[in-house]
Amino acid sequence: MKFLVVDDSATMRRIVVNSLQRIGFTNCVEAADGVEALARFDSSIAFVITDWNMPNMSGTELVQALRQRDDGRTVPVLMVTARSVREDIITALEAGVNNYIVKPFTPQVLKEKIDSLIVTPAA
Amino acid sequence: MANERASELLYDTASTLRLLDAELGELAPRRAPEPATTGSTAAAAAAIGATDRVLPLLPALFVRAMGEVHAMLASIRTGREHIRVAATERLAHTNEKLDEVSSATATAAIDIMDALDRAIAKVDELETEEVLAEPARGTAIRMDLRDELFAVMGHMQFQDITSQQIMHVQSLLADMENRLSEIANLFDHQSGDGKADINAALNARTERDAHSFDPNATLADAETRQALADSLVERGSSGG
Repeated sequence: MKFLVVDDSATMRRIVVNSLQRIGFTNCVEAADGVEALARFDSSIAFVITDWNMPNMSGTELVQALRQRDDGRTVPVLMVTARSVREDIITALEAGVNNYIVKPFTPQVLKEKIDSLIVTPAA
Repeated sequence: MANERASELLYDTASTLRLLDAELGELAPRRAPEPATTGSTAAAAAAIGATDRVLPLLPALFVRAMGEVHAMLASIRTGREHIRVAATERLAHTNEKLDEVSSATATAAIDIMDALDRAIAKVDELETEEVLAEPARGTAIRMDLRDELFAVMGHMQFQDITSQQIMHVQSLLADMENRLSEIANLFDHQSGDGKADINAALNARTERDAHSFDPNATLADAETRQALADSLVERGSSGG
């Protein structure tokens, strides 16, 4: 299963990728913002984990763009962000995000959310 | 807007003062005439006549100049108020954010040291005779040790949170710099074009950076905030 990890913080990308490897997902592609993520996205990507606040293109803009593409319409998207205000979470869900993790997170929470989306694929 | 108003006032004031200067200039030679050129009674009478025409205008000119000076003083007071707001409210907020950064860094450092203490204790435990004699127990301790070391990596998320907090501070300082620059332009309208370029560059940078951070980023109450997210996701997935 191939993951696309999108975050402008190299530290966060490394933490997410290492967490994924620890729970058994070793195939990861990284991108530093939404624009780069869109360029790297293709039908081989089975799961997207994205930050919200990024230069050039935000996480919500990325999800909206993915949902416009045939190959991105149903890909599970997990947002991992410091934003945790109720309105922000609702905005992300309305943009097409399937699940939401608030930073700082634990690997257990990451695993739970990934499991929930793999077991119940996005509609 | 403030720049334009200040420029207009300066222009009006300069015009009035030039007019006043011209009128006074007209009076000056007649007040202290050169002996060689005022020989005739007719010239003296003409000078007195001119003085009589100009003198009644002076009070009005002085009133107008005073009004414009008052307007300039009002502008200066407005500028002073902007500086006060920038200096007190913005700087106070900046201080709060820097305190948060300091606190987040300290919390993360303590969490990391605690995790390392626990990891060292596990390593020590692995070397005890009891554990060496019981391989299954050693395996369990090694798994715990991996978890502890992995937790250290998780604590490194503080770097992302604090960098967002610092970016927020930078944006506040850039905003303050911008405001102070605008206030400075009020008093230096003639060299405003170059400063406008600097302000435009500053605004562009601030606008770009504004997308890269959450002004409310924090390490605090992560579980409570995650619970809120979970409830909203649950509500969304159940169509509520």
